[in-house]
Amino acid sequence: MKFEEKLKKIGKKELYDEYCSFIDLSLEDYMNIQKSLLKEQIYLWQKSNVGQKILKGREISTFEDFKKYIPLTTYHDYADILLKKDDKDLPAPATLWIETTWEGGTHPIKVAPYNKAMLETVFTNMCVTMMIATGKKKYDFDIKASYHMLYGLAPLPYATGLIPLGLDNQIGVQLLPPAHIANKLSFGERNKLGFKMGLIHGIDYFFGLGSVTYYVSQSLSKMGGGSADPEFKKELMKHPTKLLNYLNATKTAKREGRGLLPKDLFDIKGLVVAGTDNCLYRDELERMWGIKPLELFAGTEPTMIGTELHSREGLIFFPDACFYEFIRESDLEKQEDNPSYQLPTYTLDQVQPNQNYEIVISVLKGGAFMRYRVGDMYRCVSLKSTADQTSIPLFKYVDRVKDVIDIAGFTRITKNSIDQVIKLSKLDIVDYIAKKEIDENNRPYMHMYVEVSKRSSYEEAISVAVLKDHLTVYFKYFDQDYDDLKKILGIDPLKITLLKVRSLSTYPHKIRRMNPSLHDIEEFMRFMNQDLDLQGGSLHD
Amino acid sequence: MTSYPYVPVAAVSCYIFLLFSFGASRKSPLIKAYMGVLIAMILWTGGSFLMRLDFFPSVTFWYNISIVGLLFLMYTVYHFTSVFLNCEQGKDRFWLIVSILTSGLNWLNGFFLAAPTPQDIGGKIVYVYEVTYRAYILYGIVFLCLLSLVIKVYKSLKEHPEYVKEIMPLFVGMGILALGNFLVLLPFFKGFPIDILMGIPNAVCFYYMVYKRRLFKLTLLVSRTNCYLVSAGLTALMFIFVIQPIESFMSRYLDRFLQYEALLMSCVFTAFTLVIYSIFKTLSDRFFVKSEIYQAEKLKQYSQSVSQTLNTDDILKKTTEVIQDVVYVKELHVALLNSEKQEYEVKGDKDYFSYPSLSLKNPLFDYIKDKREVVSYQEFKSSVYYKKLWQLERDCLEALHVEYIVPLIEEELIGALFLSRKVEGNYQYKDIDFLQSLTPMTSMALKNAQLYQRVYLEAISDDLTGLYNRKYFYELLEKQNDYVQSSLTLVLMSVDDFRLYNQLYGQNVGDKALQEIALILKQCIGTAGYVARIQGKEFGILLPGYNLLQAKDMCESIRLKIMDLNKLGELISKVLTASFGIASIPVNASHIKQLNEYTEQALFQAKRKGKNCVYVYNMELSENASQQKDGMRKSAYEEYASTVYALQAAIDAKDHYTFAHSNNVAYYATELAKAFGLQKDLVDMIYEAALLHDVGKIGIPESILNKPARLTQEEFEIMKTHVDNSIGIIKHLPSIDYVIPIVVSHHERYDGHGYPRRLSGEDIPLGGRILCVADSFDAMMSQRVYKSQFTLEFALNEILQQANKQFDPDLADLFVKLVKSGQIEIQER
Repeated sequence: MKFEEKLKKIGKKELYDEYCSFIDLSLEDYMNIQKSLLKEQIYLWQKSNVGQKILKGREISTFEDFKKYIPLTTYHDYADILLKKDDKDLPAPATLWIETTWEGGTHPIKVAPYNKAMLETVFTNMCVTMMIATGKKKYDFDIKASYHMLYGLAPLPYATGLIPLGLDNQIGVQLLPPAHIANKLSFGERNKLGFKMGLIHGIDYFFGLGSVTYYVSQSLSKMGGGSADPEFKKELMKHPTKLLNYLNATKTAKREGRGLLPKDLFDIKGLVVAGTDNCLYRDELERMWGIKPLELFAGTEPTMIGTELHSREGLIFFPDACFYEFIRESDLEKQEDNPSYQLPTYTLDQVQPNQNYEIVISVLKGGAFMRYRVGDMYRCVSLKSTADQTSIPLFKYVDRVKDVIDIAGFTRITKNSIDQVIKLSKLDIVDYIAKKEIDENNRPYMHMYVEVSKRSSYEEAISVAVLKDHLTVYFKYFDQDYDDLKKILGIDPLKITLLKVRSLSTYPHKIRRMNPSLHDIEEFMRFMNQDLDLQGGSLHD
Repeated sequence: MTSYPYVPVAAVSCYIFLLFSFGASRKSPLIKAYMGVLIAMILWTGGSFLMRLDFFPSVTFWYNISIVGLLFLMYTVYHFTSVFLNCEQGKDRFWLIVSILTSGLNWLNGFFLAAPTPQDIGGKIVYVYEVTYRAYILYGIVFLCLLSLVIKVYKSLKEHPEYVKEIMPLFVGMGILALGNFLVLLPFFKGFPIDILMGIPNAVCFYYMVYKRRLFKLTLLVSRTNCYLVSAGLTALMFIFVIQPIESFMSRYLDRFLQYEALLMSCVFTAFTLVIYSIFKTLSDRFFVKSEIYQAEKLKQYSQSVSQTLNTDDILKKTTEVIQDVVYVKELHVALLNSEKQEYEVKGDKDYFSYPSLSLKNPLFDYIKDKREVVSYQEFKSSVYYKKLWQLERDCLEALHVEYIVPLIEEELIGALFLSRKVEGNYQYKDIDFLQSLTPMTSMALKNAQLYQRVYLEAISDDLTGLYNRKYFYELLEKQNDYVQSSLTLVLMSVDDFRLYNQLYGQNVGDKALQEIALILKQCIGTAGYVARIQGKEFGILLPGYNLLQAKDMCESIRLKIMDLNKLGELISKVLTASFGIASIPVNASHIKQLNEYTEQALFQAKRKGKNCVYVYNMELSENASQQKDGMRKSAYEEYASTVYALQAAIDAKDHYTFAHSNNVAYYATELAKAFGLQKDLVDMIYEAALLHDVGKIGIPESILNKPARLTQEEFEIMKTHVDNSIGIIKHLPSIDYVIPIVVSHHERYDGHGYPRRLSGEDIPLGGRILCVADSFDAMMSQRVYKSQFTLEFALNEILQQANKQFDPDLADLFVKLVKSGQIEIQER
């Protein structure tokens, strides 16, 4: 039964309860659901080839066994089995295989199996997200199959492709443009057509990666502004009422002394964003659409795991998607100093507020990944929320783990991938520091502090521009998503600072090469800018 | 008088009838609101009718009543809608005040519309209203109220689209009422009160809305009071119309009987009333309550039948039947608690489905336990409990096509009925009501049956293993006459050397072993036959329809599984094995008694063949069996006697003292055992144990055995290992391994400070305690390189001193007495 049929049959309150009542659970009841479903998952998983490979013949019968016998895993632990895409290896046969690029991996892509039960859970939780996104408070939501949704998401087999599939499956909203047309178009064409259709039919929901949503929203403003595309104007002429709306919107914008914004044209009911760096776009999106965006948390391996609540104070994890464990940031640092340190994990009822954690998930309902390190950092913002009437801990997404630089949810750059790029570029870079930074326009980029060899500093034409051009060429070659950053979002993701020769090797303190803290960078730069004898002068930015 | 008087009378009667129907029901806010609508309509229609009849006290009075009714109808419909849609009721009060003010104002001076004046136009009384602009104010107020109502409904439906279907009758009813008021203006309906007639379907529409909310039973409509009311109403109506024609008829044709007119009239009307009552009651019963009567009858029959049985399957069968009779569902399944397995076993009415078992922890059971009433599966799916459900459990419930779940609760949740879709139509209020009524009876009957079953099981079961007991096993055996024609195999199984096992590891470990063996038997036999614990270590297996070969294979498999139990143990110095004897009808025996006898003989043969084997009855071998049985243990010892002597000779060569000591101890122990009143076989056993009790010293270095000084702690630890060594040697002589418990415990002390197991008091086998006294006495009376021989007095005194410490006090006393009396002679060294 689709969402709207259910709505007609059982009513709004009951329907809200059906989907969202987990928010009201006590932490104990919430954990009971988690533990019950984890038992099922262990039962299914330990019989499968993928489970057997990791368990090495051991059997799990208690929660202690679960922690003792299943090590913390990464994709490398599953790659050889999953990349075969053989149902026989899995706890439950896959209905869909979701793909993503495997930056720094041994294979160009990663694949994750989604079985029927997992997909049902994803689709159900998608409805939860939509209900919260379109409402102001408990029991309030505005979902109709006749509503139109503009979306800025990659199609299947990417995980984002599940969103239109799920919305069609559960609610049946009208996609702008419809999926079968959108899949044949480029990203730009799709947005253009979606906007054109939106002007006629209206836009009720907008679903997309935060960065993409921001970019598309800006484009909408431009498209609808004074320099509007003549094609749009022509289209509008065919619909007098829409033309009137457009004129009214233009008038309002002019009266307020600003450009045309999407909120002038559309009465949007829900704005949902996924991906990373959403905090950078949040305020601007609210200004443009007149509605607070709701952040959704999902990924290729973990499925759809959480959503923000009405207050947007933090996200709640869905109890039936994954079993969640958390590694304290301080423990991660300990392990950095002492690699043999065994990382302890904490369950949701053990987390502390105002602490950063790396998330570890075990996909429930026959998923393949157990105790899997997704590579995302979350901050526990509170153990309960009065505003959202929940006793379940709420989190904020912080960023990827320090070893990964994620730019606008498009690309994930690891130390391994930077090393590969430097190798391909044949530049004589002897050492570097890479850090994700945010520019004055709130756009993320990767800042590389590069040290070249003494020889090349004399013998080769080394400059920031040369380094940047070279590295950009090979980053694009190495990572398709990197190229999309410029093409789609107009972001220049790389900034280079050339360091003095031997500055890193002579630096007396320890400094991370990936994402060191701002303080460490400042200390280092101070050291470098001291009048040091670096044998042979220096080159710098 | 107005034309068509029966229309308003029928309308008022209908409203009164409905009003009385609800008088007896439990009054929810919605029912109260509906009753308000009915009262307003009665006032409106009744007032208007009585005004037209020019009824006492005056036209104005009845006119005002009808206006009050009309204005209150406005409020009551508004209020009814608010309650029906669960809306805010703040504005309701406003419209109540408006109704009171407008009707009050109009009552006082006819402010909006004054009472009509009757005028005789062409011999017909016509009520003429003087309509002024104020009347339009009144219309305006009514219009505003209706507008407010429509807005309220619109807003509410936006929030609750599920009400759209339910609220439709309201609009239909109001539409009909409006249509009536429009039609009355048409010349075609001139003089016919179509507006009042349309009030009836309007009231029915409202009634339907309340009925759909399942707030009352239809039987309320046909209560005795209502039947009387309808009869009285119809009789009164007839009286109005018929009295004059009857009077004129009588005065014209039957003037002789005019004096009896009153009597005649009362008879006719009484008869008429009775007929009307009977017809109405019969019709209403047939149309309204036939199914409810049928249900009640079925419930009664069901209650009687289930109270007469204590068989669970029988109760379930009857429950299935009655549900299928009344509700008629496509599939019906029952989940019944199995406390032993900690799960709910599902049974169904279809054979093709392999029924699953649902865990006690299944969230569905928590949910229905909390609800304690019939719940729809959809409701459960909408609850947060559903999130906890395993996908496997979801699939299982989906496979059962569950639509409604009926919890069976009798103090605790003992089960649940799973009902699929109905064969025809959807579930109705009456179906749920029926199931709700059925549940307590089913629960109680099942609980009683389960209690009975438990008591019965206890009576036929063995406490320790849960298998059938001896008595019930032999009853079962006697009942197997049917199989005598085909095949009936009996197996007797005996755990080998179980007494030894018990003595070695204690009673508790022994009991646990028996339980594990019982579990193996249950698992292996399953439903193929019956298993019982006949006595102590003996088990009986009855295999109807099995031939000897099949039974032998099964027993072999059991034998191996029992041997596998030893792999799980900790310190095993003696394996747990079992011997099996098998006989069968008709291959071996001709009747049950013979079968029993032959199986016993086969078991004896199995034991004799060296135990741990399966033996099928063989007539030739069994002939001498009984003669051999008695001498079995003796012959076993004799079989190994030469080995024992060889071992003793080996000790003698190594340590002559030990050889002589063993012989002396054997003498002292045997005498003490005899005097203590032990049976001959036990005395023999003690003798054999005494001979072998130090055999383990073969493994002790001579430097320690013959050390002329006191042993160091380390050397003493080595010396103590001779006990374990003795067991290690004796266990290779399986037929005399029964001496091990005695040997192993001869260094235990009565106060628990001995070795190797630090047993104390009666926990030390009796043989061990006897050996301890004999061993110590001989040690004291012997001269060793590190000590001289003690005097007899000292030795006896020491034994008495150590009574209750090292020795069993009874045995110590007895031994001293026997020595002093000369019954025990001091052996030479």
